[in-house]
Amino acid sequence: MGYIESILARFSLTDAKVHATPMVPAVTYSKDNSLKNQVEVACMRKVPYREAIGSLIYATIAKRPDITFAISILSQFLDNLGEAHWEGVKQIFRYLAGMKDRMLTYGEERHGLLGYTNVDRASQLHHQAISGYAFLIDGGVVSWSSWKQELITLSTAEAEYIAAMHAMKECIWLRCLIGEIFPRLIDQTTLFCDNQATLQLVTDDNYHMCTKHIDICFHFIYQMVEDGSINLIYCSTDNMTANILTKALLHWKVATHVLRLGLCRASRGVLDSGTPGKPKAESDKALGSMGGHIACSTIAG
Amino acid sequence: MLAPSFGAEVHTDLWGLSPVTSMGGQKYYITFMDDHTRFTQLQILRTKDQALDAYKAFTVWASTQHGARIKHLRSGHGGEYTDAEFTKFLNEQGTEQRLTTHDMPQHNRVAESLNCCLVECVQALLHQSELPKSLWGEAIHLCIWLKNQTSTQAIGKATTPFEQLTRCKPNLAGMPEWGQRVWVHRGSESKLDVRASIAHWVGFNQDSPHAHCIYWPEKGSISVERDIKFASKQAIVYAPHFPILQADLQATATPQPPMAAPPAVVALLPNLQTLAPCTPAQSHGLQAAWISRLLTATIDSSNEDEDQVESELSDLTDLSTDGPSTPIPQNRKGKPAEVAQPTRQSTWTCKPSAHVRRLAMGEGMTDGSSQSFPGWHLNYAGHSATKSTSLIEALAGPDTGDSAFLADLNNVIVVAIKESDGDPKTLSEVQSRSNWPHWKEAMDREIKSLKVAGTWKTVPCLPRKNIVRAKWVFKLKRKANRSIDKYKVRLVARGFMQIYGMDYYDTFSLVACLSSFCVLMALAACFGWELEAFDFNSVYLNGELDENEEIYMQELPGYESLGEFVKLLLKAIYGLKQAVVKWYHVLHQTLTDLGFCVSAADLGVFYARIGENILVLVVHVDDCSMTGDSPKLIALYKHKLNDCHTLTELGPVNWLLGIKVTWDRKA
Repeated sequence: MGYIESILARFSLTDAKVHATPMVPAVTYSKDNSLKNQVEVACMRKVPYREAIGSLIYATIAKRPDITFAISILSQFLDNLGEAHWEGVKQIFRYLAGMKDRMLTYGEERHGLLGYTNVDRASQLHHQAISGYAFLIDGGVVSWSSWKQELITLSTAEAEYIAAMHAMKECIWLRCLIGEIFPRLIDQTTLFCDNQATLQLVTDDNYHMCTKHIDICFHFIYQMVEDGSINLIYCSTDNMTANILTKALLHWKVATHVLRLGLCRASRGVLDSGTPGKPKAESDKALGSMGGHIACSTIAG
Repeated sequence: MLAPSFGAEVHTDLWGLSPVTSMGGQKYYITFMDDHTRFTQLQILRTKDQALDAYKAFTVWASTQHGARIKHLRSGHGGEYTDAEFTKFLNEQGTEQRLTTHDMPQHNRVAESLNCCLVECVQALLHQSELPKSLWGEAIHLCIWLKNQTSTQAIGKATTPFEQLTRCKPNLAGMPEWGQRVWVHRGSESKLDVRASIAHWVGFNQDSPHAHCIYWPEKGSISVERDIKFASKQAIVYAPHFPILQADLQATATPQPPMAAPPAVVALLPNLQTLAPCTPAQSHGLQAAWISRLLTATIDSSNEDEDQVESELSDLTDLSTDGPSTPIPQNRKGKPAEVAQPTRQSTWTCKPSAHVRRLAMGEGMTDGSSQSFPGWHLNYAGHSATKSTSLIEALAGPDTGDSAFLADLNNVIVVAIKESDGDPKTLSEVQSRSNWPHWKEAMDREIKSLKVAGTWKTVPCLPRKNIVRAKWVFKLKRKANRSIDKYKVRLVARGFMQIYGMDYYDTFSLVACLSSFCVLMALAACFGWELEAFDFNSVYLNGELDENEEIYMQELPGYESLGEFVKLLLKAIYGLKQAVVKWYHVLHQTLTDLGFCVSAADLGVFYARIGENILVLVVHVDDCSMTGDSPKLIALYKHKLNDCHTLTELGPVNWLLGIKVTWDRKA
């Protein structure tokens, strides 16, 4: 039995109704959903919330980038949960029940290391932006993250800028790891961003009224782009795969992005059936020529 | 010296903070005991500052109900009794306050000893009923109610506080057991639905005289119900002390000749306990001690022997009224009250518990065979458990043959439980087992292998050195058919006795990033390289301790020699704090010697360039996966590594850190 099946069985949700999204798009979770009186406390006392979150976190860090955002939101209420939060966790289980046959697949297509960075600035009640990135090698995601930015930003461009900076740090680490072992594989890495203002900010070093408050440390990104090792280019929001790491999406968007991250069904041929085209990177180069594909699914012993 | 009238002197004390919040969120309780009648009022509080409100309510109750005003209030020196508002209220009322001096709770003896009595009583109720501790509020209300209805030494044994205050005798007939299971009628459901659901009785409702407080374990809530019926009593108790049990049973059974049949003794217990002068909680405890502690005894409700039981009830009542101590129970309707359900029970069904059944089937025995116990056959191995002469009856009989049999049985059970309980925990336990020679052999083998590896040298004991104790860990490995595969013994150090900075520094265990695994897999897929997995055996024993790390371990338990010697460890053993970091150092050294470089990006990734070819190794403590462009080189280097440290080959990667990996070459 796979890991996902085992956790579904553990929480008696094997026969749960399948849901297409890990999180309902319009719902926001906050302390207001928390328990208010003794009756509610008594109802929620026996709910295995922490156990459920803990077992889902393993799935998240191991092989399931698609539930990362939902988990990062719901794990903020471990100590002060309400019924809405528990419903949210059950929704993730329902989503996984429908997606348990997905495997992270590498080698489906040929392109080098490429990354996506995105931000969702104001959907959360705390007004701190949620940023996310995903890095893919040959159509399979190898590194991903979703987190709340530590500072409150004044514009979307600024939030995107900071998110891109964090993505670049990860990018440098990945380039370092790959470059050390396979020096010939590394040339320019592409990072996709869906904000034109950020691209402007990166490509010219003019002085702007709106950006003079941005701390010098965040201009590190400018340096990296000028250096030429990382190429930051635009892609439209519809093609922005890292969207799934920053907000709750509609089901058809979830389905698209999940495929883009390399979470394919065990049987082949899924990618060919009607998925929108990928953004073309200028530096799109094949890493190698030999065939073979490894699929890893989240199945644990 | 009792006070001359009601209200002349009141003892009060506030108890808390309770470790568990009650169902209503309360953490404290306050008691008011009248000195003349010893009648006590109790209120549970959320915070200490509610003490004044509670006292106001008490004064108003005393004046409205009994026309009395409080003349003296005796309390501890707590802040709640000495603050300005409280003193002001006392002054307005004209009540004199008598405080104890600080740190002298003895001066408030009456109230403090009441606390002791109440808390013990609550403990007993909660423990016996196995209900959650948050029900202490309900339990303490029942305790105080019982305390008011039973006699106390201060006012003489012939009367009770309730009687002193109200001049009528209390009626304790059909007193249920706290936490007892009850059926609660459910209305407003369709005709074919279940008509009643089961819950626990947790006391009378204080406000409405005929209602009961019912605890619902599934919902974790309490409701007030009228329409209830007490479920048949089920006593599940177990303890292997037969001699005590027997003595208890005989002691209680002999002075009551009318009850020749033991089932009746037990059936009448709930009544007996309410009549007895001791607090009900104590008698609950006694009950647990002296009802059979071995069996699951279910008492069926049946009306057949109602007459007989009722006559026994009257016998019992006669008996207890002989003593001067008990209040006389009065039945308003001239027959047992409707709540006294347990008295209508006469037949017994004894079933062996699951554990006993397993024992009888021979599971967990050292030889794996079915063990035949003389006694179990009699009662359990046969199929006539329902009509068997139960073990209780056998116990109650004064026959010496039976007691000899019981003593045997006792031994058999104790040994059987020990052996079936799985692996032995301590050396003394393993020495007492029947398979000790096998364990001894395994221990010798372990010591020999450690000695061969040069793990330690024996040195005289030096003063002022931290000596870490050692422990044996035993594990019985079984094959799929439950037959014994191997006696596995491991010597471990008690690493928690090591001192940071003296015995160890770093304790981290080095693992590669999950992203590194992903990158490696993506690249292996891209190039079509083999991905092989293997793990090292007993890695912690490979670590060598540095010169400056002097770790002394006590002589091995079971192998102590004469004189004061300790083992100076030269190599890491299991349980040492630094064992895992030492292993990384050893592995790092080995791989460097073989020509590997450690990656600067991830210290868990090693790579080597051999001519045109490349080898990459990702390490997760002792689980490794290796890839490279030449399968021959992979095999060669695995062989080389095996020469340094024994490893187990797992073939092409199939499972990696609990993740299944499949390889689709055709794609």
